Amino acid sequence: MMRWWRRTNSDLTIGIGLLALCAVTTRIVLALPVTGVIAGAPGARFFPLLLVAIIAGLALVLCASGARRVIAARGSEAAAIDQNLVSRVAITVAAMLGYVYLMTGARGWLRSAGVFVPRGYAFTVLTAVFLSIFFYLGDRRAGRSIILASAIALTLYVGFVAILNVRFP
Amino acid sequence: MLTTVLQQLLVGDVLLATLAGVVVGLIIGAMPGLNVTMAIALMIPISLALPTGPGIALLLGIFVAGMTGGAFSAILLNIPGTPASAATLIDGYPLAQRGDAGRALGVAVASSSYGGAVSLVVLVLVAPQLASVAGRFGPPEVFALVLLGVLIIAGVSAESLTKGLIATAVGLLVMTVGLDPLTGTPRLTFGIVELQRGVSLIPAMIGLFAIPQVLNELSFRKVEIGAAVQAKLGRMLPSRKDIRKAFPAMNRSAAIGTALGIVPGTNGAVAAFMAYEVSRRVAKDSSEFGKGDVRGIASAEASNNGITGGAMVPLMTLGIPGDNITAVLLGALLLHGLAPGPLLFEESPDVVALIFGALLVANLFTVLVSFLGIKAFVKVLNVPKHILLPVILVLSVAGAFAVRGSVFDVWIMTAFGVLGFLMTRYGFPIIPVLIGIVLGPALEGNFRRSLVIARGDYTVFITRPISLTLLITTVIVVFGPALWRWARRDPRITATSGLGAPALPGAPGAPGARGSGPESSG
Repeated sequence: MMRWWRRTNSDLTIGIGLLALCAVTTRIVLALPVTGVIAGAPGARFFPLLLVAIIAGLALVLCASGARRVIAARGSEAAAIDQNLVSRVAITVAAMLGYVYLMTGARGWLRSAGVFVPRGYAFTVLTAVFLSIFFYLGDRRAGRSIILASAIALTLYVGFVAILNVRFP
Repeated sequence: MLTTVLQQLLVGDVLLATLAGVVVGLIIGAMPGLNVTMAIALMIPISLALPTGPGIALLLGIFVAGMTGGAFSAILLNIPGTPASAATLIDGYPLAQRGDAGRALGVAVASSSYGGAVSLVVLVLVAPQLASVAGRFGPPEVFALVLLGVLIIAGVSAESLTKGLIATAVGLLVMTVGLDPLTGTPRLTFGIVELQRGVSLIPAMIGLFAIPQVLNELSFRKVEIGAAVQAKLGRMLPSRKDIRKAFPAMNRSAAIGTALGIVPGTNGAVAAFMAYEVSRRVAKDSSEFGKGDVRGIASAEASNNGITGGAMVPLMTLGIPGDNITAVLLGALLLHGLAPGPLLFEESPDVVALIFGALLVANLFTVLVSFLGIKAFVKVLNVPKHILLPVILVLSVAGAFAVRGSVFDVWIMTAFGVLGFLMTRYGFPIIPVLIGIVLGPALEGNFRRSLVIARGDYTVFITRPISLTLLITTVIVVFGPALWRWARRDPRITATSGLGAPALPGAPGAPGARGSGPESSG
């Protein structure tokens, strides 16, 4: 039932979400101060409000067509959804966010490691990120993976920092 | 002009950067699932670390070579490296299976570069004339022109016009974040100081084009490339007989590709399939098409690379991208401090010469590097995705951070990445979001300037003939097909969401789009 709902109602759900977004944005835009008015020109609020109105109108169209599809799809079998999709994507996003956190906002012993051995720390984190993604994607050859992850991390680091003078986080 | 082109090209850095771009473009283009748009987005931070000339040459090298690179995997693996090379495999793979992989690749590379060269000639001849006409446009005309460009992309990039328009409006809304250019009022900044400068273009581009690509690949169970290259390469240079047989198809297809490239909103995949079909229909003996006919390979490749010069025409003369790759290129040029449009020809003729020259050299390098390095590229095709994907992920984070050294940009990139992934997942096109962000300032700025000039009179847009013509064209081109179907009560309108519009190959929801990540012509 849940799967059927997600499959047939995505447009309806997105439409409702967009309407909510429009409501919030309208509130924020209306609260903008009116300053520096130029004769003849619409103010700072005009364009965002116009866009919000357009999005709201289109969201209503999306809701209507979504509702029509729900009625049409009622009773029919919904196509199978990859069960692992949500978890796979969530893990990847979490790994990415974790990587950014380790590089920028980490506290405690992770932070200390970052302070004492900045380059080694960055390199290690990079290698660990590669290793975990290799492992997550099903590579179970530990020795080969470690060598490969280290080599890629080193190449990227040297390439960016030493050759191109582009800083890493 | 020729002297300026040569002066620009004789700088060693420019040649080296073009060569580097060609190598990257061939590799990325050859990798199934990775696309040229993503490669350019990832390379923008590096291009900004270089001086303007080499920086732009690097990106143009990727643009040109990426189109050719797509043919490698199409011929050797039966998997198109880019949507634009999907038509190449129809004849390329059967020829490779017969033991003539080298011959197929040779015809593909030669045709691709020929198509690119023909389109470059058209670009050189047409662009200055068009720019001189567009140079006389005032704010109302520019507003109408930008609106046309923005809405055409919205109309053709998705299965549903409603979703294309929503994506465009979201992009335009994102563009309004930051200080209002006329009054200095902070808009939608939520009190965050970093947002007062607006949303940074590079993190947004990397997020929209690289992250969804990775997440899309990860969302399939099998992330490894299924088939390793088995085909024997054999002789690579096309024979005189092959060239003689394919030459008419090459000419016709290069013209089709170039013409379609000039029309904003079309892409390499459309051009390739259209040229292939035209060649099949006009052939005296079409029985070999689909079984390894060199004319089929030549048609697909000459047309999809013919797009390169064609798509540069509206970009350089009007500041409107012809497809998604040129949309990213537009962003890159803006970041280099250049404003594509009619003024580019007046204010920066050296940059115009550089672009022409770099495109020419990129086509030549593509032929050279392809013929010399084909064995290395075949090896690259066998690199498993579980190695490539994390590399792309790290490059994305590093690229987003590198330009301004700002962690906030990394968060912006992440947010756009998740947004882009969800959009592709639910059939919303990504490219209109980028077009909205890139062209939004021109749209809003010219709209407000027009009203200042007209003292608040909104009829200024319909009382000037060029502006009125452009607005009518917009309505007809964008809404015409959907309204026509609605008027005829086409059942497809009820079957799809919102106002239906046919999806282009390569667009989400279109055949072949799954697994190729964000919609792309390259």
